[in-house]
Amino acid sequence: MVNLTEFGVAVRKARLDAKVSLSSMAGELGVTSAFLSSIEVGRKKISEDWVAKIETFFKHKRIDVPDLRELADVSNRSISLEGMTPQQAILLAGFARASFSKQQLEKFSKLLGETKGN
Amino acid sequence: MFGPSSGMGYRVPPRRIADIRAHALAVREALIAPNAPFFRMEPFIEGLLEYGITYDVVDDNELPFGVEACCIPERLLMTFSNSTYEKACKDDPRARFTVIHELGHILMAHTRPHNRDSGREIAAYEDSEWQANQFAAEFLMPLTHMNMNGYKTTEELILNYQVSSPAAERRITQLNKRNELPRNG
Repeated sequence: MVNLTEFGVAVRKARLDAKVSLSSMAGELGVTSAFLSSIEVGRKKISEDWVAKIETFFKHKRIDVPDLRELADVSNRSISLEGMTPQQAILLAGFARASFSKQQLEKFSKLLGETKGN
Repeated sequence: MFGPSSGMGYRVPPRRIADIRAHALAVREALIAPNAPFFRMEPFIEGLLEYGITYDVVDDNELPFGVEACCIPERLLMTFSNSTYEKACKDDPRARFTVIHELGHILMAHTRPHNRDSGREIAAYEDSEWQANQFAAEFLMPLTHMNMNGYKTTEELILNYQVSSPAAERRITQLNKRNELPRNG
């Protein structure tokens, strides 16, 4: 699905599970359908605020959308350092500039998954 | 059998009414409960995602003046103006026709050619707009269902299929011309 970002795919799939349309979701969130669509297709950046609103929206419908924040970061092509400790920020910047092999990245993401799970 | 082209579309591989009808009915059967005369457009649009067909909604002023929708068949993408999408969700007859018209472009793979043309006039049956309109008419007012229920008037089509009065009139006129409606008596 080249038309949607990964974030958009996750949100639209969650909407299908929740049996909610773009129109009614936009209505509940107080925006136009065009606005919501624009963040799903990647025409507009997704603010932290909007990720939180969308997460809450689906939580109320008892639908779990995993990794929504990360998907939004990927869709935005940037990660905010806002609110991070200097140590976290340095670690993130260092990670972004490092060149890892595919195997190293796979190991690392497995490790991260395990850490997140705890 | 075919009138002259409206000249609104571009040249695509020719298709007969019978071909478009068979295609529209097959798609209808796959996507909607069989023999359902009417279906709600709002969940229908959302459900197309399962077939890889996506839609985008843009502010009304982002499309050229007077354009309600457009599509990129090779990307399986339909784009609707905000007001057209919202009207479709409320099952407005014209907006419903617009959605299925765009779906027709996608499913008939109306990719836009950029070749130089000899200037030969485009006949209706090879006009992308005519084909998409025919697809929408066949999809929204299926002939088999009409005949099963004995619908022969524009009023019956408007009432049962939530289509606009011009769309219903065009359908009845065409079907009468082709002798495809059962005779009275």
